[in-house]
Amino acid sequence: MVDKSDYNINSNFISKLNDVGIAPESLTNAAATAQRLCIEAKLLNPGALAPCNHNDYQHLLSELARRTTI
Amino acid sequence: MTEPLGTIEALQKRIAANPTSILELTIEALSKLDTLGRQLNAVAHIARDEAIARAEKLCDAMLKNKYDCSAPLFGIPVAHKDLYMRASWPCEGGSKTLAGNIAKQTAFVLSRLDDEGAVDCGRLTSVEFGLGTTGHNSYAGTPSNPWNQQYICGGSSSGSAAAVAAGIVPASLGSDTGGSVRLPAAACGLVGVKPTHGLVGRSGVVALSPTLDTVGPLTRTVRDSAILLQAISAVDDKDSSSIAYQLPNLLNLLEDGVSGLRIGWPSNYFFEDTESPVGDDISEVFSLLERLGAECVDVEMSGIETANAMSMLITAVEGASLHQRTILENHHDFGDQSLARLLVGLFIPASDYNNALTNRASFARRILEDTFKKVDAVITPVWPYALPTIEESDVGANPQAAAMVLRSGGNTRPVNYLGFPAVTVPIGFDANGLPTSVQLIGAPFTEHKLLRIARTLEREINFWATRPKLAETAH
Repeated sequence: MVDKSDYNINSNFISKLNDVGIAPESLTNAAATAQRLCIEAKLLNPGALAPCNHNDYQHLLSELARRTTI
Repeated sequence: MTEPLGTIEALQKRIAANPTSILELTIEALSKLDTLGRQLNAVAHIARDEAIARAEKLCDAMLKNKYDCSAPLFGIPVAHKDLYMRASWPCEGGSKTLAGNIAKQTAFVLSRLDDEGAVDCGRLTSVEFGLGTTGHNSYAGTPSNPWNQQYICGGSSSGSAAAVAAGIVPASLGSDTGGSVRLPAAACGLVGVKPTHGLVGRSGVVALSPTLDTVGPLTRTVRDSAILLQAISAVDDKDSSSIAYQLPNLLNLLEDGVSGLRIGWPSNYFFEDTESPVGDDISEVFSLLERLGAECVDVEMSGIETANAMSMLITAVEGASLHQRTILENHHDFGDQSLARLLVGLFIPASDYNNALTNRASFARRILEDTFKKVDAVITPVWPYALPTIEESDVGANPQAAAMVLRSGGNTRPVNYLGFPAVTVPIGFDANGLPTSVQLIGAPFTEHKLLRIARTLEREINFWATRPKLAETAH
């Protein structure tokens, strides 16, 4: 994964993709799709005052498994 | 027209009456895989010698009373998506990048089925690494829909759906990252189950997105899906997302009907992009459930459209991460569409990916509170439009089809982000004679309720009173 918020294709890693023969058009299309996805995802950033992480989800499911009865 | 192999329930009766029929059934399944299966492009690998040896061993054990032969899957021939590894068997994941790969381990769920006495007959075509909803695969072949071979059978568990619908095997395991069990099940008139995330272990299954991947059965009946789900649900020590949960006895609850259950019609998102004949059919089913005693209400699933985008974002990043090295070293061996989908993940900022993961718990809690405190299940379309032909949906030959293909998973992907269970069940046929289906979504660990609703619809609609007209030709 490349952390690139400006989506230009001139970084070292993206250059490597160019070097191995992936067409610039394919990279531009991928960058455009990525940008659209990030906008659609409307991500909320809770910030440092209310930190959360991926493990919260696993914890939620474990809690539900423990509490779920037929 | 060829006679299909029966359901698990029907085959169980044959085996109970005559133990040597285990070998007969295995040979029949192997023969169908080699003829009809190849005709439909549904087959990746046939394990003829291994399956026959296994069937002989089970026959012998049954005759000598050496085995618990009462297990529902004892002697039942099955075959699975080409993402399931069995040590020393080929496993290519539908990709030229894995051409000739031999698996070094056996998937956890296959060991579970082995313990129950199932006979594994081989591997079925998969979309490349599970990255696609229509079933197109330029390397492994694009399976045809047994109901009409001009049409897609959906993906990515494409071969599984084709083989089960064609009566080649009674059941198959698929995998579902954004709808890859449910979409092909719906396209082929099958019951498809996407279990709660963590209920079924995934070690030994080729990954696409470890955060979202689930594995589940495709079968012709609800009962058969319940049998498979019961068999494979267990803690998998090699899968860190595996969760300890004792499923109730699913078969005991199947015939309880829908009286007392509350079923929700989502007032936002799911029907907004759904073409009218599909929505009309589901509306009739909703009314039917009400007549059968369910309490049917409108519900809102606030923000669910965001879950669709989150699901695509996570899959893109994790898929790109898993295949980054191959992209750099060997990108020509990927199919064009797979490569295009994988490249997207390389352009998503790490901060956005992290936020998609960290928002998951609060999002799931909100849907639980807003929706599933009010209802036991939500009913939605699976495919938002009438099933397209293989030609119409081939994005390689017809780039305008890309938008239609993207829409195909809009009703299934949000469920993977939530990690909730969903079941698809056929409800009839469209104007082209192809199956139509509904999706039932529930709160985590409520598979028993979803299967109960699905069984009620199955009993009322009796979809499989009709079956595909297929003729086997020698290969």
